[in-house]
Amino acid sequence: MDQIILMIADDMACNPRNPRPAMVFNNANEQINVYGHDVEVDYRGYEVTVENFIRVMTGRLPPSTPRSKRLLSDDRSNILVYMTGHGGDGFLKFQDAEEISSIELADAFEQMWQKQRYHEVLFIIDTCQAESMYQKLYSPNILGVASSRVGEDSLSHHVDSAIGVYVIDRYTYYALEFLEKVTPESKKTLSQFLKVCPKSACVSTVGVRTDLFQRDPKKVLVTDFFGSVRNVELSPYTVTLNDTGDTGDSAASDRETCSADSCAQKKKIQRKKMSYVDQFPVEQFLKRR
Amino acid sequence: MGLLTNPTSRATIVGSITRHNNKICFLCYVVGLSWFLALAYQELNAGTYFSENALLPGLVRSQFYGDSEAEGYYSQLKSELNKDKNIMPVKWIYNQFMDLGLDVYIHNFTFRYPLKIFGEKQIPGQNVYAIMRASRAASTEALVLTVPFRTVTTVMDKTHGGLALMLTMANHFRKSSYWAKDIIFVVTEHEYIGMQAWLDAYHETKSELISSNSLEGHGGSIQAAINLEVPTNKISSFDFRLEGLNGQLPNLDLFNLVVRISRQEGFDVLLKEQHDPYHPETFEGYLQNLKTMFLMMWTQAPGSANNNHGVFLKYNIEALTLVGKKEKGKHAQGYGPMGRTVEGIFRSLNNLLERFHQSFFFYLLPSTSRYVSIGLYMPPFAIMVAGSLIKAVAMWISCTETVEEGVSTEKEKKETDQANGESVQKNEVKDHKEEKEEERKGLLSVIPILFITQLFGLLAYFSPDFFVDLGMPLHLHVAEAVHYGMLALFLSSLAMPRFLKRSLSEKSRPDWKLLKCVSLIVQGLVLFSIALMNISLAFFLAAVMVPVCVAMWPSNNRVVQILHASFLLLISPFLLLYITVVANQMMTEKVADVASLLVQSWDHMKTPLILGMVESQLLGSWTYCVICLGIFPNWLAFWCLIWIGS
Repeated sequence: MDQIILMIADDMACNPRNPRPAMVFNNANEQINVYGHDVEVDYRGYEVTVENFIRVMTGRLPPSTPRSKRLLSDDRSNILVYMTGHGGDGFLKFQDAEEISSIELADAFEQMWQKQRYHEVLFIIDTCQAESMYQKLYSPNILGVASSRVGEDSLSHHVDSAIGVYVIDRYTYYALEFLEKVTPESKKTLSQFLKVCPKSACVSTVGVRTDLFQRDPKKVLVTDFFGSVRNVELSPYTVTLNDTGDTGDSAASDRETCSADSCAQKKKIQRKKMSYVDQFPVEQFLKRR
Repeated sequence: MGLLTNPTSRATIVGSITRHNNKICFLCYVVGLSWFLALAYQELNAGTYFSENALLPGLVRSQFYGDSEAEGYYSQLKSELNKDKNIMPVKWIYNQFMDLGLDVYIHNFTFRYPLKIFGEKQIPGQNVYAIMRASRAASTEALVLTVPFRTVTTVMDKTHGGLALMLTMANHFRKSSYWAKDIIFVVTEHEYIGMQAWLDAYHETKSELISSNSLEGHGGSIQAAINLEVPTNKISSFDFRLEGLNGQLPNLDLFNLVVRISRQEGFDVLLKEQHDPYHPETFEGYLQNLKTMFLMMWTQAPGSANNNHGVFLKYNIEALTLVGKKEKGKHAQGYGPMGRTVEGIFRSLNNLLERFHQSFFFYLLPSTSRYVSIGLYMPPFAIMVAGSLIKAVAMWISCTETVEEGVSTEKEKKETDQANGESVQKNEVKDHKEEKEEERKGLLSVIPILFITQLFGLLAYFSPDFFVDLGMPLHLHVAEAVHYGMLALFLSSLAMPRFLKRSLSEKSRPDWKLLKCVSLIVQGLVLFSIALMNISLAFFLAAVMVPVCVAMWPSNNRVVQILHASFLLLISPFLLLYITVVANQMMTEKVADVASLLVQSWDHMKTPLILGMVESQLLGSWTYCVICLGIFPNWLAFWCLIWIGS
């Protein structure tokens, strides 16, 4: 199930000025086409509005919205929110006539918390004066990373002289470089990710907000937020599920779900420690071009 | 209470202004003039910068390496031109574009010169234009590359190198798929008249004297235009022409873009054929900057559409001209760098999503990397003209004060003569009333003079056609007829004060102070209005007219009268034109002696006169209109002033 919601306001890949149509590369050497076959833009052009963004986050969409445009998350979901564009002190530009303010964003996260729509959020923002966007957050379990402090500009990394534009920003470039090396089994921690762009590389100072986050970033895996890594526990035993009836009495259901020979074993199984299987080696199957 | 609302403090301010008004006016003028001239100094102006970040100039790597192709086109063109030296090889240009696979069309137009130059003949012309469609865009916007065609026998700088370059660029551009706008290549005949005809047909507007069919091929709305005037296949530097119709200038970002890309490709950048000074902070550097700024103002003031780009500005299309020059001793480059320059400019223009709107539209350039914005040049200009307004205020105050003084002396007389009885009182009251009436009549009495001067202005505006008709039975050439006709009109206008003296009685003649006050205010109004659009014209007029007009007063002393009259004559529109032509001759040609200079200038004076009238009817330039209806009546009012007597 694709739980990536992509909102892109400008169509860069199919812009007539792009000499490589339908391809967007991460750097001037054109190594990775980041606009590959598995990219699906859910909100495009004029659909990328502050209203739509907050509706997606809070889940208050009209019933006719297709599932691919909804954020189907619950209270156990870890959500990664990545925002980039033109920004300033306390706002991020959406369209030429619209901006989202840091207060609106904080309220949207609070709504999500009240509706139990997330377990933890990693909020990454790459704009000028990005830090201002997470300063107003007040909901728990949010870790904020910003590419620049208030009063600083985030800078671009380099020019692609075949197109004649700056193709990637510094923070995103180094973050992407780090994340390209992360596999689903990787034990890299979030604190390593937070150090990814020192001032010598980024020129602006990367800001981090950890006070709302309850776990220690040194103990949080990067794969908790990236790669849609799910921990699977394989069980060699079958579990028979019978119809529980209308009573809903838990003791009665217990008696009925385990048969005579499996009930005793079940207790034994519960005392064994759980282990997760290795992750599927997905990186060996990913197409790079 | 505030300074100006408190009547006593206001009275003191006004009183001090009136007492010292001569000094203040002189100071204002001198300060304004020197401040304006000082703006060319590096410390007082700003460096040019890019306001439109979307341009991203020079970031893209050029892919043009078609030098040999361009040389091929150039040699083919030269052989084609030598077949018939006087006509435009329309068919050949048409075929070249056709071979490239572009949509090419021939635009036929005819025009008639105003003032019956060449009689009633409709002169035909042909433009060739080709449209390169953007392969992946919707043809909503377009860019224009234009070359004015000139024959090999022309006296102006040739443009054949530019034509070969245009064909090469057309070939290069059509091979790429990254264009978001259509590119239209236009070759015009008859210089900017052909360009105006094409633009009229493109935008479906109508001109009085230029007529053409509607265009067969159309692109989107034009965002920017570049005019190329490159003489040969080797040049060392690019000169830029910015001034357009009515003194309008293109957006400064377009100029910055063109300068940056030209420099990047190794060309020297010139402005008005002047290099940028190496040491602008020194006095010599300042003088060089001042010279460049002065030359730019000299070109901007007449408000003529100097090149093809001048007519684009009217349609809110930013355009300028690149003139290729081969300077002695400088390294000349060929079509490679030239092509990369044009390609770089067009790729940057391609990046734009909006029309040019960020940078300045009103500016003066002391060099290619410094500019004087409207916010910097308006204050000194305003101070210069403020002198005349202060004088007007002083005149008004002194005018009303004399009346009041008269009233107060009458009052005193009344008090001292109370013994004489009521009849005397009644007499005095009547005198008092009469004087008040005189004061009231004073302002209205100015109106007949202003009305007559305005009539003269109207006459001057509508007379050229009349003079041409008058000159035909006398077998006078149009230019001569107009020239001598205008001279006749001017001389007849000089006789106006004599007629005024005869027709207006003592009572109905206005107080000279009132007339001067009103005339100065009108002058200030006209000068400020001109300054909004064409600062150069306003500056030159203010610089000569303000000091002379402010210092005029009628006097009974014969010598003083003659002195005033001669100064005023020197700044009359007609003589001012003559002096301008003399100055121009001195700047552009080396003349042997003073006598031949004066005679030649008299002959050459016909050119700007005729050009002003022709352009006003053909292209809609308003310089001639403003001089006739704004400056000339005002000057004539001052002329009446000095002869009217106190």
